[in-house]
Amino acid sequence: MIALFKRLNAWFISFVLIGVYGIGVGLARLIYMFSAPKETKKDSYWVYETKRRIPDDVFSAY
Amino acid sequence: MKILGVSSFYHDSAAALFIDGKLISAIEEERFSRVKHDNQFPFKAIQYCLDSVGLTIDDIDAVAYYEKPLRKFERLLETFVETYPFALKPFLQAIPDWLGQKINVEDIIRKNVGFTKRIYFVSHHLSHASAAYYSSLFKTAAILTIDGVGEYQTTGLWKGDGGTLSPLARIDFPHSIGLLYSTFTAYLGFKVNEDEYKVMGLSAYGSPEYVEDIYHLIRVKPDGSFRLNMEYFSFREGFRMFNDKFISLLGQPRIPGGKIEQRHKDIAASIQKVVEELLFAMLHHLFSLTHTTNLCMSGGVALNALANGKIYTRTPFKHVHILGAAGDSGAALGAALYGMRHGQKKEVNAPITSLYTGSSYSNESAESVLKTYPGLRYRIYDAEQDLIQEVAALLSKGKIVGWFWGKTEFGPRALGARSILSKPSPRIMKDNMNKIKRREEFRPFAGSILQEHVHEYFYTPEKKYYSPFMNVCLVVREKKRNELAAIVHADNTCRIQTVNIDNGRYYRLIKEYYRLTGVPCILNTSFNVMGEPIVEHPRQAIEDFVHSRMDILVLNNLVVTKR
Repeated sequence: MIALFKRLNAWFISFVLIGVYGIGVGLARLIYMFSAPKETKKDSYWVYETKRRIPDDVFSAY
Repeated sequence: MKILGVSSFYHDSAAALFIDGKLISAIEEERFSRVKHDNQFPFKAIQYCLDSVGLTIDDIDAVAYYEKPLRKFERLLETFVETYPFALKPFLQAIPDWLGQKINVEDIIRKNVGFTKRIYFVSHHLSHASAAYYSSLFKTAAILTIDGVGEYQTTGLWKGDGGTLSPLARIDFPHSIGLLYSTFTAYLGFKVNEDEYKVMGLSAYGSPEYVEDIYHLIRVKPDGSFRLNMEYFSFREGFRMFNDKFISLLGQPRIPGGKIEQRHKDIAASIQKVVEELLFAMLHHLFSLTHTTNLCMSGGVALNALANGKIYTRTPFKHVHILGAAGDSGAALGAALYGMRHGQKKEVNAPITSLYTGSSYSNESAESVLKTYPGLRYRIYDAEQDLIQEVAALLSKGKIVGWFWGKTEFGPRALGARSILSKPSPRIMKDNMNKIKRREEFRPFAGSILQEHVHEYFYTPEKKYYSPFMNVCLVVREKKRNELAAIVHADNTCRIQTVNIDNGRYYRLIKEYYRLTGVPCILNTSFNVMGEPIVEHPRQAIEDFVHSRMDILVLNNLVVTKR
């Protein structure tokens, strides 16, 4: 019984995630396609740090 | 200040404890869980760090985590958007995993570890940069952090000056030298995030005939910056690192466990050459930004000992510091170092010259295990000198010795605390050792050499060259190659560990071996068999000893033989 419940639960989660992927991520992809900057030719691929100091956000998980 | 550094959920989870600026304990979770490169949250490693000095979690002032999980999750979501609709399977696998625990690191530390005070979240490459710089002896240094990926960053140029770290430039995901090398690791039939060093070892047997092809996969600028050509890679969309276009360029991949052909060796040599060219171009650029000849490196790519050994001749850097635990386990240590600096608002100077920071076991505990093995006999040596004389004599006669002594090493290398040792010649010692370790015959072994003699045997950048963490390969001098026949690789290099008085009993053993034989070097490989982490408990050492062709086992002051 517990095994059946677990399996149903896993199916349910997968079903929800497929929906999120199909609709949510799909919509985000659509927006991304129109808003992403085009890559231009560059002399260097380095992204130089403008401030050259470490941001003081060490207590944030973001 | 007591601060605990933690890394987890990618590979090589670990914990490290500093008290008042001094590294007290550090160990990887894999040693306890017995899962190689274990990525689970390191509860056992944390508990060990606390127990080792009789503390509880309430005694700790701060915990420093080695990355910012929310930012990493954001990168993951962005990748799913960019690769839509080809990444459904990874999405279904990754999202529950992330929402379940990876995103909730703070909850785990608060609820499961029971920590109530300050938590630092130090970004991944800052953790690497801190580990590299603050553990060095340099006041001023250029720093290169280079790995697979952290949150976004894959490569970082930094400067350390007077205890302050300044970021200079970076390259972000998916453009990654670590992931490029891992892609070739997978292509050549080895395990990603585990077997990269096999590709490095294999490269010595090939010629770099595929370099031009590999430059289709990557665009490189003269300043060492680069872009991967994502048309050839699929690590963003799925579980496979490379795609069909990659195969059409380089041919069919090697099946894991399959025969290694000359083509595979040539491809390994080619990717090694490309990575070296890139690395040296980056280092030239880093030098032009920092104008110092001191270099610190960290991140998984910094474990490429073959490339590291060429830095002295191919770049302007004269002094190089790479911590033994340069990968993600060392980032736990780096996070703690950065948190310590931030918390104390003063200069952190924590040079690390020894990585014997893990667990140790008493003679009594080893003896109690030995008593359950009737097929073994042992002798206890009260005087260390007697034990060293006995073991050195056995080594000189060609015996293979399991060496379990004192505190275990932190990081992927056995540095003479949990090692299997033998004399470094003749060449058959290599074959014998490979049989014991049950590993591929193409893989080379490292050597531990007395620091005062290193320049006599190797082409070193300076006379008393110092490289204590076994992360540099140097070319062996022609006239010494016979003396080191079992550890000279096909390209005449050898990965070395310089040993001095900081290495305690291990130093005294090699010194005695030198007195007996005139050779100041022994073969040193990690005490484990293929696929397992380095042994942690005496019981594991005894099991490996019993089930292999090792001749002698040394457990602290006990010398064990088979009946």
